[in-house]
Amino acid sequence: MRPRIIPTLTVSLEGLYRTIAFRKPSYVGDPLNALRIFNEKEVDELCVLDIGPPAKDFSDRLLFFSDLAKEAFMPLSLGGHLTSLSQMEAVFRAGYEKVVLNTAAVDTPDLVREASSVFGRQSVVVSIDVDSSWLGGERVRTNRGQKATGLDPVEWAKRCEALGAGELLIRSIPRDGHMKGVDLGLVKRVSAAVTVPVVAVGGAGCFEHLREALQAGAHAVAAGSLFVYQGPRRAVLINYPESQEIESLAA
Amino acid sequence: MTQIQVVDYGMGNLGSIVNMIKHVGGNSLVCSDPQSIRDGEAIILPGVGHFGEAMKRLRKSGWEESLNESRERGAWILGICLGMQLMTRFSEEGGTEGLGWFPFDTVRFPDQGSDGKRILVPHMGWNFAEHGPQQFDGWRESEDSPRFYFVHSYRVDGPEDPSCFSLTEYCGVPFASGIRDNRVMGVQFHPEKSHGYGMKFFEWFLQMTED
Repeated sequence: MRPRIIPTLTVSLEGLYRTIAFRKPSYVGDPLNALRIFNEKEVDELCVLDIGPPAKDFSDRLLFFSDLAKEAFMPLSLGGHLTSLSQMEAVFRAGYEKVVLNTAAVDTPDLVREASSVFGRQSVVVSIDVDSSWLGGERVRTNRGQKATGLDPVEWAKRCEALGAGELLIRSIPRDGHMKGVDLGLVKRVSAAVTVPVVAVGGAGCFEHLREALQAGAHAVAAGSLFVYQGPRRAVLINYPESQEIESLAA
Repeated sequence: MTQIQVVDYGMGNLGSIVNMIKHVGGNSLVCSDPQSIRDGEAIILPGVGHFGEAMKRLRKSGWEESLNESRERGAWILGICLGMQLMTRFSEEGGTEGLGWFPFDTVRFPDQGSDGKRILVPHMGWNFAEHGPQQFDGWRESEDSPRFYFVHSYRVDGPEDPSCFSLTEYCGVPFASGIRDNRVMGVQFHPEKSHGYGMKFFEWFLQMTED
């Protein structure tokens, strides 16, 4: 079966942003407009991640997420500041198929277990942000990279699977936005350790990078910058491979 | 215009279905009271989650009875994903009896595919809807096999049954991805999340329920 190639929309209530190693957010455009273009391009799936500050009121954000879902006729996942089953239920009702948990999964692992038993494990994705340093090795960070957890990514991935996660998003923080390739070693180690689908994210800058990540063991690849930028000067141009190109990635 | 009633028993991606029906020019209503579908002409039974849990909810809240009545009086009923599986006799997921509208069961994928490799579940992603034993093609745009989004861990075991109008293969294992008995039908894929092919599917469903 052909692998899934998934654009990620990193948004706040103010717009669509791209970052580099989770820093220097630059405004890319209107998320709804971007989503419409991805819709026309018939993308395999779309992952919406709220990277804005934690809002006081969930209902404001829910309204915004609902507006996005109304225009999306492809599978949709949503992550960012989700902390309760009732929020998740509202997200599913709005038209999303999956929720993405990151900080909340580390803070409250039981939430992953509960969510997967209530909504089914295919609806629960855990996103793992990994920092790597020459001295410290690979470690999981939460709170949009702000908080060190000391967790080893492979061990944490195995734990997430045991808790009921149906899919894992593995993201390299230092590679984010650089468009110089995915951390293949990380993808290889994590996908060898779990049986649930692993989605590689962080660093893809060209079509070949997608192929490399799949060859390293990822079941799907997600990317932000790759699908919103064009050329070395990063002109904003929403793009997506042709269906035949994606077919050519099938193992 | 026929109003499409979407059954809300607490286990479905209702928003996506409502959004899609609206997009193709239809009119839908989410129904959480089993009595409200008594006179309905077109009903969608969605479903995401665990078969055993879903049947428990349908039985407890009176949905099973009203769905059976609707089927008997000749309403259009479309089951999507788990909603289709619920129409079979039995599922290995939870070891539970289903509505029993079709003479086959919902079963696990085998551990290995036809190539001897381990089968990963869920079957998640885009796959093709090929022709099944039943000629029933109004929903197809052309002779091409349409591509739909799937996400499921169990499969409906009726690819050779005369009710099967669409079949799909995953790792060499065929399963029924579309079944139909007169006005009752089910699809394993998610037409509400399948772009142009899904829009075509819903346009066709709306048109049929008008006739």
